[in-house]
Amino acid sequence: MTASPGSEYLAVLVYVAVALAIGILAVVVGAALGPKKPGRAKLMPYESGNDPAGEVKRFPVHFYAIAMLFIIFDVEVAFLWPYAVSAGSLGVVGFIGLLIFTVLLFVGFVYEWWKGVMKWH
Amino acid sequence: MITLYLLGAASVVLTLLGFFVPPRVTRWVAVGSVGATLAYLFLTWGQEQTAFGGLYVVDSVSQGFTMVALLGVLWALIIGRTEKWEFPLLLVYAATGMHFMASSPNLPVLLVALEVFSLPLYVLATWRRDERGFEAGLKYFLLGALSAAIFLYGIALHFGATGSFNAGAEGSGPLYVTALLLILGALAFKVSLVPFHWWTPDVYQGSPTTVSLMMATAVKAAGFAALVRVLDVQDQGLWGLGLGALIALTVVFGNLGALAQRESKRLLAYSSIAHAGYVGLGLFSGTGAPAIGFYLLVYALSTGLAFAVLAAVSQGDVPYERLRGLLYRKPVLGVAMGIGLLSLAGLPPFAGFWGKLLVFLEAARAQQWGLLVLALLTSAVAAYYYLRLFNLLIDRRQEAREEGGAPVAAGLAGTPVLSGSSAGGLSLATGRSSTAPLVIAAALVVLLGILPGWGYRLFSPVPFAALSQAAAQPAALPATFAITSPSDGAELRADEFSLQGTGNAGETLEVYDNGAKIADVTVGANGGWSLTLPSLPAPGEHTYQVRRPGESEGPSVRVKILE
Repeated sequence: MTASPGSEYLAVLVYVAVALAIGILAVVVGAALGPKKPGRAKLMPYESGNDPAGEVKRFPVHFYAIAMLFIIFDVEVAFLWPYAVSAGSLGVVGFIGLLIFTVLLFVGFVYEWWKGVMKWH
Repeated sequence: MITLYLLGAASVVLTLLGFFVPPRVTRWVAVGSVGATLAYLFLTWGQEQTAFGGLYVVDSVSQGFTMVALLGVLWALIIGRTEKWEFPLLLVYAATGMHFMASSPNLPVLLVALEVFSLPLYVLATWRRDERGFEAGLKYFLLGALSAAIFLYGIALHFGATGSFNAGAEGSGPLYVTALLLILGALAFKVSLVPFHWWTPDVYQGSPTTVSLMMATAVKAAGFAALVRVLDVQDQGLWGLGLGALIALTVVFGNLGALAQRESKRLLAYSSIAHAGYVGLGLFSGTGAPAIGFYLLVYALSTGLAFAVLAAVSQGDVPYERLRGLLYRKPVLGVAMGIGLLSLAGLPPFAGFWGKLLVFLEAARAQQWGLLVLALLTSAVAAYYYLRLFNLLIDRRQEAREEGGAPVAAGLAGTPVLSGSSAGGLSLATGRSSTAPLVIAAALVVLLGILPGWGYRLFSPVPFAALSQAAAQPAALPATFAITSPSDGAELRADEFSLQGTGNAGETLEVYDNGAKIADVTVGANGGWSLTLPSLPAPGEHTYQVRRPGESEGPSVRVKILE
C-alpha cells in the first residue's frame, strides 16, 4: 500500500464531494416534498411560546477570552507535534528545549488562571 | 546569553510575582533586573558571543543598542507609577524583545523580536482609558500589524532572492532590491521615517507621557539596530536611493511639521521624526554603527529629559503655555528641560552636538552631499522651535498666561491629570526618586558634551580622536599583508636573500614554500616582518606564500633559484 500522497488526497476530495452531494440532496428533497403554508405565527423565533424578548446588546467577553486561549494553546500543540513525532532522535537536549517552551506557555496559563479568566460568572 | 537570560527570567518571574506582592515591589524588582542587566552589559563590554547556531549574536551593535533601549525602559520604569503591576511587567517584556531585536542577524527571529516588543507597547499605548488613549492604541496596533506584515513579506522575498534568512546575505536583481525595500519600509514604520510616520504624533500624544518617552528612545534604538544589520552597504544601488528619499522627506517634513505644533508632546513627536532622519544618515557608510549608536544614546538622554519633564507636568496634553516660566516654578524641571532642548537642537557644548556631528561625518564619508546639506539646513529650522520652547521656560510672565485658572501645581503633585479613571493612571511624583534620574541624565548630557569620547568608546574600538582623520579618507580597508621582497619573478641565488613583507603589527603569519609550511613570522611594531629561510632552497622554481593561520589563500611571489 504505497499510494502517492497526491492520489490519497484525491480520495479525500472525492469523499468531500460525495458527502456534500448527499447533504444537498437531502435538503433539496426535504424542500421539494414538504407542504408549504407560511404564516406570521409560524415564522416567529421560537421562545417556548412566549414573544421574543428583545435584543442582546453585547456578548460576554468570556467567549473571546476562551477563543483567544484556544488559539494560543492550539499554536502550542502545533509546535509540540513535530517534537512528539521525533522525540527519540532529538534526545535530552530536545526534551529540555521543549520543556522550556512549555513552561513559558504554562506561566502564561497560570497568569490567566489566577487572573480569573476561566471563571464563568 | 546572560543578558537574554536575565531579561527572560525577569519577565517570567514578574508575570507571577505580582499576585503575591504589592505593585510597588513589582516595580522595584523590574527596576532591579533591568539595572542588573545594564550593569552586566557594562562589565562584559567588548566580549563577543554567538549562540543558537548564529541566531543570537552579541557584538558591539548588540551591546550598544541594547544599552540605549534598556536605558529608555529603566527610565520609564522609574518615573511610571501605577496601581496595576502589569505596567512594569510589560516594560520588561518589551525590553527582552528589544534586546533580541538588537542581537539577531536572522530575519525571522527579528520578526518575532519585533512582535515581542511591539505587542506590550500596543497595550501600554492604550493605558489611558479615554478616547485619546484608545485612538493611540488602535492606530499603533493597526499600523504596527501592517508593518509586521510588510516585514514578513520582505523576509519571504529576501529568502526567495538569496536562499538565506540571514540579514546581509549576498543577492542581486529586482527581487532582492524589492525585498530590501520592503524590509526598509517595515522598519521605517518602527523608527518613524516619513512617509511611514503618520501614527507618531497621535500615538505620542495619546499615550501616557512615560510610555511616549520609552517609544521615542528604546523603540528607535531597536529599530535602528535591525536596520544596521539588514542594510548591506556594499551594494547600495536602488535601496540606497530609497533610503535617501526617506531621509530627505523625513528631515524636511519632521522639522516643518514641528514648526506648526502648539502642544509639547506633538512637538517632541515631530522632533523624534526629524531625529530619525538624522540617525538614518549614518546608515549609508559601512562604518556608521558606532555613530548611530552614539547618536541614539545622546538622543535618548536628551529627549528622555524632555519627556520626563513633560510627564512630571502632566501625563496628558501639555500645551506650550503650561511650560511658561517653568524654570522659576520648578527649577529642577526647568533646568533639565532646558538642557534637553538645547541638546536636541544640537548646540554645543551639549551631547546632541556631537551626535549630529558624527552622523554628518558618516554622511560625508558616504559622499551623500545633497542629503548632508539638507540635514544641516533643516537643523537650523529645528533650532527655531527648540529655542522657542526654551524661551518659554525662561519667561517670567507666567501668571498672566495661566490657562483656565487651573493651578499648574495640580499636575505636579502626583495626581495625574487624566480624563477618566485615575485608578489605572500613571503618576509621577516630584519626590527624590524622580528628580534623581533627571539630574543624572542632565549631568550625562553635559558630560558627554564635554567628553564625547567617553560615550563613543561604548560603541566603537576606534578612538574618538581618530575620527576626524578617518572621515577625510574612504572607509578603512581591512588591513592586509604582503611579501615585499624579493619581487615576483626574481632570479636569485639560494644564499643571498631573505623574505620580507608587511602586515598588521603583532599578527602572526605562516610562510609556505611550494605549498609546504616552512615557518611562522610575527609582524613587528612597524608593520614589517623579515624571515631568513631556515634551510637553503633547492635550485629551480619556488613559490613563496604568506597566509593567515587557518586560511588557505594569501599573497605569493614566484622566485627562480639559480644553480
